[in-house]
This record gives sequence, C-alpha cells and structure tokens, in this order.
Amino acid sequence: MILGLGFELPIGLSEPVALRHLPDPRAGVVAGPDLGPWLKRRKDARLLPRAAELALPAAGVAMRGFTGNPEELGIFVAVGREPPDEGDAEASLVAMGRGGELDLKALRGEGRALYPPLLPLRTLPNMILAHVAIQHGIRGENAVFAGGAEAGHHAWEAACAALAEGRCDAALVGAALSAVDLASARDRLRLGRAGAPGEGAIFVLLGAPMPLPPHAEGEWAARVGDVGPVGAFLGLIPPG
Amino acid sequence: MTERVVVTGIGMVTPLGVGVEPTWQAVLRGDNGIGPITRFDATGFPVRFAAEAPVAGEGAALKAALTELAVREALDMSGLPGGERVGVCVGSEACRPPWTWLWRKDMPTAAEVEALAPDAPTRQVAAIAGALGPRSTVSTACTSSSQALGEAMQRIRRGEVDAMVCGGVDALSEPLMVVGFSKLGALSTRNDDPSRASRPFDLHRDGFVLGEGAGFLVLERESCARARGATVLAVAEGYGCSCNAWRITDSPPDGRGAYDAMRLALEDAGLSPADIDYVNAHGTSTQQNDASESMALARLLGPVPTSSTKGMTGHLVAACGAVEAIFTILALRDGVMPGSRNLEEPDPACPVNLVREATRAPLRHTLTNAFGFGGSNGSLIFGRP
Repeated sequence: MILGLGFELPIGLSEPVALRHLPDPRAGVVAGPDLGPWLKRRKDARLLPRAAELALPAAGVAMRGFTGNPEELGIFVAVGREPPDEGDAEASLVAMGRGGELDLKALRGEGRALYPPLLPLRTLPNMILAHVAIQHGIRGENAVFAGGAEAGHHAWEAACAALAEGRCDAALVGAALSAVDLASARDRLRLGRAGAPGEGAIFVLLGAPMPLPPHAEGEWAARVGDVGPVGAFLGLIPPG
Repeated sequence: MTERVVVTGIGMVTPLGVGVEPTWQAVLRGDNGIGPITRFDATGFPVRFAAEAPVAGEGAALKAALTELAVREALDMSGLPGGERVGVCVGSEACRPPWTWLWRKDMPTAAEVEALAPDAPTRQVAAIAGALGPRSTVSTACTSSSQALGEAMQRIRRGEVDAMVCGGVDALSEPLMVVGFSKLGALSTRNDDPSRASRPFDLHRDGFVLGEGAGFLVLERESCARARGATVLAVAEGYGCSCNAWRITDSPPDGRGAYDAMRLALEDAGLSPADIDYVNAHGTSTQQNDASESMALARLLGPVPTSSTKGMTGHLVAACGAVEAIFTILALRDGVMPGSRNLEEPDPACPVNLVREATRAPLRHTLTNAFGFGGSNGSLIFGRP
C-alpha cells in the first residue's frame, strides 16, 4: 500500500494547488523550497546539496501519516550523478584558475584556502539519503542507486523486496535530482539529450510491495523537465 | 529454504598488487601499499601521500583499467558464461566533480561525459561479462561495494538471476579529493612517514589514507555453480545493512548502526555471535570510526579476533567493501587471519581483540564491515563451502 506521497517539483510541493498546474507546460527550477518545517537543526542547511533540499520536503510530506517506529523503516533512494554545487565552489574555482586552466599551484595556496571544507560531503551521492534518514530517524535497510531513470526502478524494486521478504515493515522510497546547473546543461548538450533540464524530488511511503509505477516519463517531461531518476516515480502522481 | 549463494570467482587490484594472489601474499606479509603521491605534483599540498594502485592512468581511464583487470580475473577464475540470467551490481561514485571541467577550453566529448557517470563501471562490467540481466549501481560512499554485494545476494536469492558479477572500484588520489578530504580533517597528515600513516585502532592514528583499487566477485546460485563444475570458494551467508541516522560527519559513539548491520547479517545467515571466528573490520584509522566500530564489535561479538587491512591498503572507499570481502574469503580458504599493520599501541578506547600479525586459525565463518560517510553501514558474512 502507498501510505504517503510527497513531491517537490517545478509545479509545487504535493498540495492540491500543485496538481492544478499539471496541464501547464512548465519546466525548470523549483522555487524555494522553504526548509524550515523539514530541518531539525537550522544549521544543517549548510550541509545540504540542492537535491537534498528538494528531497527533504518531499520525504517530509510522504512521512506525514507515518505512525510506526522509524528505526524499523527502510529507505531506498535514486540519484543522478554527483551534484556539482557550482555556487558553493565558485570562489575556490576562481582561485584555482590561472589563464583559464586548473592550476595546481593555485590550488595549493589561495584555492585551498577558499575551498569549502564541507564540499566533499555535499557532493557525495548518498547525502540525500543521509539527510532524510537523519531528519526522520530512519535506521533500517537502505541503499542509494545511481544512474538515470532506471535507478528509480532499482530503488523501487529494492524497497518492495525488503518489504516482501520481511526485512522492514515500511519503506520510504524516492528519487531526487537537480540538473539545472551549467555543467549539467553542457553534459546534456554533449549527450544530445532533447528537452529542458529539470530538478525535483518524489518520495513514497510504502507499507506493502507494490507493482512498479506506470511509465509516464515522456508525458511529464514537458511539464517538469528531465528529472532523471525522479521520472520513474512521476506516474504515481494522480492526474488532475 | 532459499538456495545458497556461493562465490565462484574473485579478482582485485589494490595498492599491494595486481591480482588476488600477489595482493593476498602481500597482506599476509604485512606489506605497505602507501607512498608519496605520483598521480600529480603534490608539492605544497597538506597531504602528499596516498595508497595508489600499480596501474597507469588517471581519472575515468584509471577506474576503467582497474575495473577491467579485477573483473577479468574474477570471470577467468569462475568460468561464468554471460547471458540473460547474469546480472551486474557495482559500488561506485562519479569519477570526480564534473565542475572541474569548467576550466577546460574545449567541450568534453559525449564519451567523456558518459565515462564520468557513476554507472559507467556498471556498463563496462556488463559488457566484459556479457551480462544481459539486471544491472544497477550503488553509491553509498565507503559502503557502496559492500551494499552492491548484498544487493547481488538478494537478487540471486529471489530467483531473478542465476549469477551476479558484483564489486566496486574507486580512485581518489587526485588533487581535489586530497584538498577536499584534508580540509575536512579526515586524512592522516603523517607526511614524514607515509608507510606508518594508516594505523587502524592504534592510539596514535590521525586519519585515513586515500586509495585506489577494485574488487569484483562472481556470486552464483549453488546449484548452477555445481552443475557447471565451477570451483566454489565460499558461501555468501549473510548480509545486513542499517542507517546511523546520527550526523553527516560522525559515527554514533555507541556504534549502534554498526551493531545493527552486524546483527542483521547474523540473522540473515542464521548464525549466532559465537559462530564468527574472524572479523575484517572497516577500521579506517580515524578516531571516530575505529572507536565507534569497536564498541559495536565488543557489544555484539565479544573478543572475536579482528583486524583491519587498511593499515596496508589504505582506504579504497567505494571499493573497500568488495576488496575486504575477498580478504575474508581468502582467510577462510587458507585458514589464516591477516594482521594489523602499524598497530603499535592499541587504543584503550577500542576494546577489540586485535590480530597483530597474520595468524593461522581454523575459520568457519568470517565477517567484514563497511561503513560510509552519511551513516550507511553494511556487513557481510562468508562461510566455508
């Protein structure tokens, strides 16, 4: 059974008003989000990569009706490639460059000083899972699957298997990606991918194994852009 | 009852050597795999040493070379034919943050973009193995390949496939990783004596050593392996994983997540703590990991003989789970527990029965741990065939 569903997409956060936007051909960037209700400690915001900022509200909404023990809850997340966090690293990148090249001498000195100390942690693919697990106290079986839309299917399969085989009573499964940065745009260009890049997150709380969601990526692409592994879950959002 | 999952092939490249036997003999001797950084000019960097694999290359090409060597060795040993009933699961991270390319004057090619994706090694392994079944990529930092092995075991048990080629690869001796992790304070800074830098459970440990390597295994449904006459190296008996839900950078002092992962692996294997004869610990040589893991080990397994091979290999991050799983399989095969290089003064805060030098012992079941930044934990148990 689906016990909860939350999403953070360019159409809004999981509210009825968001669903009314579905017919709009929107794509691109999520406004916000407001992380206030979804962070136990405000200072944790500095640790969040963009995809985790999207994941926290989506997971929070999906978890709203959960009354069980989160320590027994499983969590399975699909992600894209490492988030680039250009904004964070901008000062460091500027300092690392000499004549338009990455310069190791600059990196040893000023570049190192400007390099954000938390950047390695912000760019690890499993940080989305880590932040959601910490916020909700989730301590059960877990995995992060990386790649394209197929990663979302792998997360769904793993969650259903964990439920069916009794390794957890409920499982939070979802995906998050932010691909609206310069590096992602360049990669899309090089890979010849059509359509607009996008960002978003969807989480589902499962209480029993479910068949894979209906395939609806193409139908949704014009509305929210290409959201990689998140696309595997878009068929769950009820129409209109 | 679910059919047993067996190991029919292993392959590895580590800072100690290319191939299973050279690496294993080096482990038993207690050799050192850590030295000055050669991949780039590290002069002036805060950390100037790493555990580099003896393989030429850099970036995505290096990871591909490490993967190819380890996978081909595992497949040669196993003799596994490819096909639709063979899947792939690889623990891997993206090669490096793609924003470094902002400094490039030319545009990267499509092939370069694809090669940096976290699932690039997975596609490569599938192509080498002729695996047409399910393929997935697990990215949970240092736990990645441990979880990849666990996922592979579960797919075989569910009957989705007859065999899985699984493991992990990583290569972190590159400038931005060295700067990044040193700014976090996670790396040893023992620049004057790199060979003594990685010292798990030692009182004077000061951080981990970035490494390079790959480890791959062929896991197979026992009846399929026996039917085709494959040599069974070990039985993959149990897998457990958990989340710390504690902090991004720290492990819980009581080791509760590690405890849960090991407890779940024991339950999965149908074993009791007394059945475990040797533990290859995650043992990174950081203050927090080693103390936290020790608490979990002492609480669950008591005085079980334990060592961390990272004193020799450094920390292979996404590859460490698979490489150290192979070490626990070889320990079973040969009846010998690896020692703990650089363990000079055991930390009283780590109440673990540490194996100092390679020691012969009759081993029935061995356990290996992998714990990652962000709090994902994986434990695997292997038994004699």
